[in-house]
Amino acid sequence: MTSKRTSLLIPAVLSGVFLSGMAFAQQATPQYGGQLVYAQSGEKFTLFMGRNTDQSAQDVWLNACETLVDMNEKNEITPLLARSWTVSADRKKVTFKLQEGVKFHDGTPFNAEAAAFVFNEAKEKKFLYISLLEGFEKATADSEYEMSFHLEAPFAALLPTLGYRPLCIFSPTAYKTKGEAGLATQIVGTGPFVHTKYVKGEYTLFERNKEYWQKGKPYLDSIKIIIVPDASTRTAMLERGEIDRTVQLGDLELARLERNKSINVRTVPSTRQFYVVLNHRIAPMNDPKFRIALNHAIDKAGIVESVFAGRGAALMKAPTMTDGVVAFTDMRQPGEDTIFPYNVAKAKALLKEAGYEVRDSDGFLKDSKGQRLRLKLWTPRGATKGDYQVAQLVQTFLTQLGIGVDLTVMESAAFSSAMNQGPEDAKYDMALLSWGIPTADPDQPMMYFTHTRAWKPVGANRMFFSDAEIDRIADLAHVEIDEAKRKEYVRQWMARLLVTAPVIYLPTLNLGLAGRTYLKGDQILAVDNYPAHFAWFDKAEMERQGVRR
Amino acid sequence: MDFLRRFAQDRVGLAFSFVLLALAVVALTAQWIAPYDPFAISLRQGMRPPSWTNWLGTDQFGRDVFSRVLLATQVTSKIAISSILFAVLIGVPVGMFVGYRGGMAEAIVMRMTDVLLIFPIILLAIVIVVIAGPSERGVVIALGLSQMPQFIRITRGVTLSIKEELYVEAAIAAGASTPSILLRHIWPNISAPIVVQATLTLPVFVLNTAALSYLGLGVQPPNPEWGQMLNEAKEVLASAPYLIIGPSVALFLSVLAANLVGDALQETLNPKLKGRRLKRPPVFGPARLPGARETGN
Amino acid sequence: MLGMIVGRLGFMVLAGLLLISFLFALFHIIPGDPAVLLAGDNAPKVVVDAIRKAYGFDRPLHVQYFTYMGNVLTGDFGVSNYNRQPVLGIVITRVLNTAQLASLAMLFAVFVSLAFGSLSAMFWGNPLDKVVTVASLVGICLPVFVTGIAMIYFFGVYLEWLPIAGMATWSNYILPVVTLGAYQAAIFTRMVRSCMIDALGKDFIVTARAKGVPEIQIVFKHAMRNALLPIVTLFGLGFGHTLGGSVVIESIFNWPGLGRLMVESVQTRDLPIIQASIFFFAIIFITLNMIVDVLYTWIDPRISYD
Repeated sequence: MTSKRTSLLIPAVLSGVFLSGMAFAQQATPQYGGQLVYAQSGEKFTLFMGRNTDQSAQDVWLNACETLVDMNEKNEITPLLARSWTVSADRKKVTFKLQEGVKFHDGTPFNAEAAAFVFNEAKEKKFLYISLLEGFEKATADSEYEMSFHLEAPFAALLPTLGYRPLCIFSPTAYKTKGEAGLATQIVGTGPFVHTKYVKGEYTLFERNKEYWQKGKPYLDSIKIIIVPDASTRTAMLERGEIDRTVQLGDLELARLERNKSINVRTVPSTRQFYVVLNHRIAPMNDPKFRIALNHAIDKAGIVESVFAGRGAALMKAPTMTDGVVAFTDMRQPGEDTIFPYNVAKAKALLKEAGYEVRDSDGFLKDSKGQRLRLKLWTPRGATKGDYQVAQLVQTFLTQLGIGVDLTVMESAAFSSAMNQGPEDAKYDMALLSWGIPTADPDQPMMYFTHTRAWKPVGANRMFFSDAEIDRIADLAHVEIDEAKRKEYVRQWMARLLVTAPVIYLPTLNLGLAGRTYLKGDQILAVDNYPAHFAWFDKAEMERQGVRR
Repeated sequence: MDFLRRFAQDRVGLAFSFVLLALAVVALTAQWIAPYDPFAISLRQGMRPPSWTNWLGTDQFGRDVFSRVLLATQVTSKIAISSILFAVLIGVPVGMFVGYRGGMAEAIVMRMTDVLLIFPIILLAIVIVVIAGPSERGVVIALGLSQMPQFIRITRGVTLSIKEELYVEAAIAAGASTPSILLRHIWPNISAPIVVQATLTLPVFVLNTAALSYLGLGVQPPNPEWGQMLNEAKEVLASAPYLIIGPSVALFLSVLAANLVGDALQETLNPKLKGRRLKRPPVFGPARLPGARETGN
Repeated sequence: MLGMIVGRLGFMVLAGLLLISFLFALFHIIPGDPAVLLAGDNAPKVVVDAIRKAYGFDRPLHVQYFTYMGNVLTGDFGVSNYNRQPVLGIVITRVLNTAQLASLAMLFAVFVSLAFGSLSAMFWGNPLDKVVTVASLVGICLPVFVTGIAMIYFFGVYLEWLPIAGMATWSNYILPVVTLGAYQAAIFTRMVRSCMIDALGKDFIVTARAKGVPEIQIVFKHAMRNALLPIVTLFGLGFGHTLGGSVVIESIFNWPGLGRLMVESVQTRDLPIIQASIFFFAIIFITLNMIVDVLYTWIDPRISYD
């Protein structure tokens, strides 16, 4: 049955080969018209930006709701609703000059008052993103098109944070009349598309905004974002042409799709890195030597090769930070391909220094009193691509050292809950998680991941790690505006992490996007965004592939 | 002896009882007969198609799929058999009793089965796991509970119709006790649908074990289990279809064997049925009755 | 009979309300906090607390419970925890979608299994019987996600005959209905065959044959009527399973049904949706059982519920 089916697939792949000549067309002038169908793997929670940080929602918002500044494919900040900005001498006030003549979809004007309202309301009502805007005091409308941000202390990461999609400017009028609940199913912004329909768990429909302020844009008539949870189904739909693009496909599937000449597969490094959180309140995980030993015990290249088919993830060049992050420095030792290279001998030596070695023929790691070392490792399944598989390998590698590892796969909501406990209530020894930096700015991990003030439940320091030097560097970097100085602080911070190893560092994820080749001008960003609001269809190519829409 | 001789006459049943026996042997000796260590990873040898060294290929981590299928036989059969026993040992007596007695007890039990049936197994499993922690025992309880109502309902349905039969009424009139009626008159009629239902439940359990393992409520890695392997293979079905062969064939073979042996047992164990069937003339053209000579006319 | 139906309806509502209460308690016991899920993994405590306050999760449990139950009694099932839409509308659309899929699949399964099951019994021991038996065994052993994906690739991607996902046109129905129906048909065929063989061996059949009643009439009238009781039980149960167990089919063919909604809501701990889904699921299921019981008395007039 199965083998027969494979042979059936071959003609389908071959038929794609004949189209290969036309696949890579020159950058041509955009053509107007058509409906883009984009399949996402899931939809969670709400359409209201103030109450949702789910990554998939961002691709929905950006069609209808725009931020003050935009982030491009090179992670550079570019003007969007804000044309330009100036920073005051004491760095506590940033003034934005806004686009003029822009209207929200409900017809009300976009101006400084509207923009200021959104941020002040966010602070007042504690929107989810407000924790990222540290030190934000208030926003004021200085004139019709001039708005100022007032900060309690200088904040280096302000602009990247303002480019984070949930911080888009929605219509204050719509908000006041419909309330948060009304905006949970309706996006009212200034974007190139007007949100016209929403069916929970099925699809969201956008239609071209005829009065869009960027003349000549957008090109498509409409965008339909549909929810298809099953990856195999999304793949088949893309192969058939029922959808134009999709994300969150398995890495092996991407490798197969790449051979289909009607399909264009793109991969970029993300800002998300896996790690195993170690609970420092449990011995021996409070011992840096022990933690560094664990770091050397994991074959990272093997993980990339097997779980991610050599393409869905990459070795890490620095702890937590990735290429795409601002002020990044490669922290690898010369000649090495990753931080903490796989070295079992070194791991064993460090464990011995930490007081653990294999003392009997049973092969188990024991302390001086002959006590066996047994640790619990918790993992979700499917929260992040490959998490469950990575956890299994971590278990295997640690078992090879003689550590007893009990792996428990948890239901995702229960896992979230278990990982959201303060130091007294946390029950895990180790847990597999990943850290993504949606703003692509190092401030976020420095302040919320490793800082002593960020111990759960206040922040996201689940290790209950505390290091005065790390905290001091983070505080300095937080207020440093000078790029070079800040970069140096970030480097020092990372260097200190390599010595203290608060977690087990694991590979960095790559993002994948698969789309039909007739779709032009869509993007894939390191911050896990896949904008297609300025995309367009090559009609002739579409016709050749037999797709009608 | 008589039973064995009659059973041996059913060649299909006999052949597949050897298959079942072989599976049982595999289940009992998996650790020793596996060609490779089912847990040994070799990350650079992952996703290899079947070859002479790895008969069913290797999985993502380079583990030998054949060895893992063998070990999974053990894990899966332990769970499936325990769950079926759990469901049958409680479901059948209860169904027989309430079907025969009727009245308030029947009403209450039947409504309870209604509630159990409408309760999705995922929720059921979550409750159990919260109480007992993720384990194989939790799976057995959840699966057993989920199918127990089926056994109660089927048993009760048959009991309802049998107890109206003349010979049962005659036995009641003659003063036979309830247990003796249940055992002597009702049970022989129930065993057939129960055996069929139990064999049909087997694949249901195997697949549900997979669903529960998927949610992290069942078999914990790195232990292999057919359903879990199927689930993992499904994700890469189009790219690496060979991964699904091992667990599918194992699952298929065990279910087929369980069904055919069940059928054969059913006919052998129920001489009344068998005698009657042998008397029945073939309908259209010659029929080959199990264990009987050609009786064409 | 009427008393039975009224009693059942009463039970239905009671069972539904009990289930809702049970779910309420259950989802406050098991780990998983909607505010934490909404806030995201790395959110600080102030933000989580703000959500609790904004969405009313911080009210005392008994207040939440009684407010909710009071509303349910007036037919208001509340709003989704997250997108604040009325739950009733969402759930009813999904119930109808699932009911369509399940009914069509059941119809397919019933026809196929009655036809092949009785044919198989008629030709008991013949090659035809063997073919049917083996085919139904194969059907049972193949997991629906394997057959489903195989169907998608063969009819959807390779032949391009049928659409893959969604429920936009009638042709969208074919693949999911056949995939789900075939699995059920395989299960039913075995049961029908076994029941029919049993019935064909009964003394009255022997008598009928002796009297010279045509074989077709014997099989489809006398024997079938006798075998119907267990078969109807099985169909009743099967329908319930088709309804509840179509989650996999719904996910593979991207069918916007109740099963998928329920699983997604459990993952996000959207309690009002879970409660309403299970309430309606319970009502459908109890109604089905009631129909089965009514059919019993119709098939076998000796059974009574009074």
